[in-house]
Amino acid sequence: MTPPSAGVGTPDVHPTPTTSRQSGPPLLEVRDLVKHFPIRRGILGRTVGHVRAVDGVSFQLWPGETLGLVGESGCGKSTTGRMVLRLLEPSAGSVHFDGADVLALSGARLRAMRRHAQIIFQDPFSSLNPRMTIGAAIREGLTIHRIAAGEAADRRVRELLSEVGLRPQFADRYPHEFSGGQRQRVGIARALSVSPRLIVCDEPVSALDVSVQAQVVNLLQDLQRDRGLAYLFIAHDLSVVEHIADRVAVMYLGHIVELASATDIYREPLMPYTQALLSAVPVPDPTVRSTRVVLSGDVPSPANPPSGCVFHPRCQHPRKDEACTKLVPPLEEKSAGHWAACIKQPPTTVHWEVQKAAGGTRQPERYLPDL
Amino acid sequence: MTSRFRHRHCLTVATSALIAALATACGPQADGTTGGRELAGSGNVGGTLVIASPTGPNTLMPPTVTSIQGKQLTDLIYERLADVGPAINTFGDEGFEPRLATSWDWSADSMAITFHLDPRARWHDGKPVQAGDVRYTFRVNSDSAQSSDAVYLSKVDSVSVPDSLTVTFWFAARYPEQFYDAAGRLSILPAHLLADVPAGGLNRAPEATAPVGSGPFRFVRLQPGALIELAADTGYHLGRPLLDRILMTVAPNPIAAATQLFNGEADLYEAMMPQQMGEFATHPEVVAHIEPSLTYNFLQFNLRDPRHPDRPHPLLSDRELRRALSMLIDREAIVKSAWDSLAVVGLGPFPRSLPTADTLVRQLPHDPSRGGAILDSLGWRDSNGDGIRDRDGQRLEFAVTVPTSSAFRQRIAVLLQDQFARNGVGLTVERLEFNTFLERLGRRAFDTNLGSWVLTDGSPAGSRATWGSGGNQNFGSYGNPLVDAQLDSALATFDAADRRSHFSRAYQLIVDDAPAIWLYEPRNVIGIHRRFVMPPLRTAGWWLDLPRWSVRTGEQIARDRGAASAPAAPVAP
Amino acid sequence: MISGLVSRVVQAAVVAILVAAVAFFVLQAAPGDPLSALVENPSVSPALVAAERARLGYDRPAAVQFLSYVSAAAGGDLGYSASLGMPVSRVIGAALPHTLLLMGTAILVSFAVGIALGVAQAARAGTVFDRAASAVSLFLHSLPEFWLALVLLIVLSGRLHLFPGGGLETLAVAHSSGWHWFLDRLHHLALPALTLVLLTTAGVARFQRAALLEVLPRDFVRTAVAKGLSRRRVVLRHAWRNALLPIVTLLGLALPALVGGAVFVEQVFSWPGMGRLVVTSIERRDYALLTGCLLVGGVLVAAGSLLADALALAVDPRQRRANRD
Repeated sequence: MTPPSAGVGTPDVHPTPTTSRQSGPPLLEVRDLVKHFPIRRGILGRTVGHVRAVDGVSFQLWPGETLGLVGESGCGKSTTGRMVLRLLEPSAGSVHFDGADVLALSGARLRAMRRHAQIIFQDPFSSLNPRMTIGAAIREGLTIHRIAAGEAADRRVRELLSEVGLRPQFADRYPHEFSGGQRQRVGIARALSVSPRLIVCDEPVSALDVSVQAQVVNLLQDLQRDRGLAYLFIAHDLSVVEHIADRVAVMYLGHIVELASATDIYREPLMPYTQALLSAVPVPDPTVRSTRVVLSGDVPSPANPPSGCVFHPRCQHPRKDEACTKLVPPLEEKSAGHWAACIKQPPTTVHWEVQKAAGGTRQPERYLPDL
Repeated sequence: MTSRFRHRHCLTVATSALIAALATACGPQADGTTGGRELAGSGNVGGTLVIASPTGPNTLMPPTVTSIQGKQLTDLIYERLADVGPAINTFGDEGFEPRLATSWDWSADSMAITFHLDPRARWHDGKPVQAGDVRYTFRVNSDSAQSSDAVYLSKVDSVSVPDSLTVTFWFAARYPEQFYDAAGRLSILPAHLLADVPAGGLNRAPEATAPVGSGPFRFVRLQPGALIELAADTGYHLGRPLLDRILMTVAPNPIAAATQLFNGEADLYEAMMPQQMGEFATHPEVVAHIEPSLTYNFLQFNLRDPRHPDRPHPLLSDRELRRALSMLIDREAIVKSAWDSLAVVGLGPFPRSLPTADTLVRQLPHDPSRGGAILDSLGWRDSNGDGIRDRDGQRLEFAVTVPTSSAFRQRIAVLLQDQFARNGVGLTVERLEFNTFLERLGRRAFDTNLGSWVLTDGSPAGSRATWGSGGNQNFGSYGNPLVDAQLDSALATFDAADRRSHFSRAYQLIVDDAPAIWLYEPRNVIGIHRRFVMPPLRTAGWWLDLPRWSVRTGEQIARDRGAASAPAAPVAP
Repeated sequence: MISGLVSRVVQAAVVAILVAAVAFFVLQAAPGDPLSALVENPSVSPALVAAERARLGYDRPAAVQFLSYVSAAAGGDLGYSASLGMPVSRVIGAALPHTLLLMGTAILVSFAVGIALGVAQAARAGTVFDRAASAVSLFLHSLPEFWLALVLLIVLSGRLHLFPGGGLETLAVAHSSGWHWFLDRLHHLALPALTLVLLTTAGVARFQRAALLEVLPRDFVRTAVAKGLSRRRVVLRHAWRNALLPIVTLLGLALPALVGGAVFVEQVFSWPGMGRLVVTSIERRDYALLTGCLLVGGVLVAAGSLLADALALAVDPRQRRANRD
């Protein structure tokens, strides 16, 4: 257990999640992950700046657990998911999968690791090779990793298809012959084919009709239960994550700004950004009234993030003051297992004197809008 | 006056070169056709000549051949009754060498010429050449819709065939070029193959692309636009040619053609450009033959208004103006600049090689100050200081049309423009695509043009059409009755000295009238591989003595040793 | 499907006839006719020119000439080439195989090399290798065809004697075996083909590079990487196969050149193909030859575009299935 001591973005920190499922070493441990994309200009391609897509993200994931990673588009959640699998090379930080340093792997060993960590993409169509039958696409993983070959592989393909609720004879069809929900089932079958321990679900249902979303989420939950899978479940919508995640991490502009169990996040969101996100969740019952927290302004550019708390230009916290624009809020444990980055939500390690010195005029005070 | 053309004429006219050939021709013959006159000279039998040519022939049917390549090939495949000889004299029969005819007789009144055919002469398909072939050839060529020569044959009344080896031309009038028209113009066609071809259909007969002649080389094959192959006719009645094969390969780009020549892929290329001359220094195996040509180039004035052909040209109809313009031009400098040593300054409406040429014709001097003074006196002064002379508000300015196909003519147009401009005369250069250029010439729609006449034989008969009043190729509409009279007299007289003086006077009158500025006569530069031995190249065409060419001993290359493709070649070891 | 093919063929035939018609009338409108070059030849009589014009039908109105041409062409008679003195079908019959050989070789090699280069570049996008290859490609691509052909001729043939200076084969030499004959043909083919390959490979490579770069970031490529496939397998089996369609389209566009020939290259290397026929026919106002070339060209272009369509079907299962359903 590493105590958080510094602000978000400072290198040697990661929050420690507490959950009932937590036991033994984590399956996945991410520390201070950073991804800077260079901005090139001119014909010579000179680098004139960087987009800080991910700016120091740390979390852990235990076997069989689902961690929801939530935020608006562009917050760096998908980038994080891809760096975990090294589909993107991180600029800094570390990723350990099952104790192994993923960033140190290369060649055959990296490919072997990938057998155990799979990904499902948001767009089930674009993530399937249009030139391959789905049977061939599923089979390829089996043969590459020498899990099955020949007739056995064909049989396994049919099994996988029926496992995800598709007719086995669909194997010789091409992706364009399927509906969106069916394609996502294909994507899941493909990911499952190599019997992974972790699946990064990169907004797997965002592109699907609402009616289909629930089916796919249910399928994922069933599979998790049957196979003990761990999910890193990326979504821009807290309502989807609510059903499946054990814990939820909220990202904003490349930072994790709040991390807690799903129950806590939904009951008691501490970070004003989380509060705003929750109020954007459509409530099925129209009779439920809520004071809507409305996000004003656009998401700032990650190439030029705001100083201090990156959320401060859009923040609705009544105690927001000058100090928020100067001080980088650390991700700190506000209550047991509930981490948030806000110097105005007590308790905080950024003492009032420090805040006043930075121009603070309003003392921290707990703020929890009526959602 | 009874001319010497009337006397009986036999092979006593054979030139010394030919006699030399007779003495030695029998040596290398393998097929035993000895005895009688032999055309081929001494030398090795065998060898292949590859000619790189900018384009292919339009047809191989002699009456309608118009391209130089077509002429070269048909001159080798077909044969005339007699050959005009190296001196290219077309008056009377002096200098003519026997070909299909071994001898000829003039009738007492010179109104008939009887030719005796060589009994050994055979068509390439083995049939004998007969008098009927000559009569058929005459019939075809006297039809103006089938032959350009019809105009010359109009004075032949008829052709009779006393027996299969004797043919008589009956003339309606006596004239100096009688013999040339009958014996020297017509390539004799095989009646047994062509007689059934309907009038006007000769060009579509199979023989138009696969000719059967009686000349020294037989046709072997034709790849359209690419290659033509001829082989020695080993049964040729005047002795087989020494070379086995002649190939003409089409290389449209001059640099590519020269590269093929200097690489040894081709043996002969005749369109060398001045800038390629340096290559000869580094390639001693290729010899540059620089020969006089039958071409003369000039800046032609249009004496008629291009917009109203019935009216005189507002500027250029003025003889004094044309003379003054001529004096402004430094022809030496232009020729030197554009051609270096590969052309000589033109003297008048004739190339120097023409038998009737007169190199003593008095030239208009290059004298810009005198030319300027004449222009001043005509009222052409630069009154507004814009650098161009003017008179009554009209500028002394006109256009020259140039074909874009000729880089040289374009360069010369610019040089002329510069020299005129220095003397206050405006010349605008109008570059025209070749067909457009010709079309404008034909319509007489130009002020001046950079023109060229290429003569294909030594006959001066064409000068009436090009510089005589109303001549159909007199594009500048120049006309002087005195010139017409001199030309008519020159073409009618049987007296050599008389003819010469008439032509001289005609040329002098033309030069004095300045219907054109006589710019240059290009020389032909023919690159030929060193291994070939040949008599001096003939002015009327380097190819005319090809049967006498041979390959020097010890210098044969692979293709010289290749098996002759002539089917009946008996020389193959 | 079948009806689609038929309509494409009909469409192509109509286009071919229209192109031929336009070319015919434009050439008619231009000054001169096949015999006008004789005007400047003092040894040719105007009477002969007039008679020949009448024989060839050039004295009739252009529309009448065209109609009689088309009706004869429908019966397989492509007319008579006045400038070459033989039937157009024979002229084209001789030239077409040469052009097909040259252009076929050039297209085959330039697509093979271009695709390989483009894939290699895309797989290493942004590296020094990629930039250098792009710069060289762009340089070669921007060279004028005529100039490059001449430079290669002068240097590789004229100076270094590595290749013959033109033509189809060594003349007048009997080859000892079919193999020697083949090598000799190849030797002659090399330089004109090299010129064309240098000029066109760059375009193919740029096309392939761009197409592959567009595909590489797509999710299914990530999927392939995530499956644990090797980089090579990801690029070649997954990404490249999906970046082939633009290349097939490009191939379809290149096929007309198979028939049209490379005018300047054929000219410089004395290659007796279709491109030179077209130039000759325009220079000499050979209406029948030009129209014949364009008609034959149109038919083959149509065939080529059908072939490209068939190839597109082969590389893209979506189109195949869409037709099935």
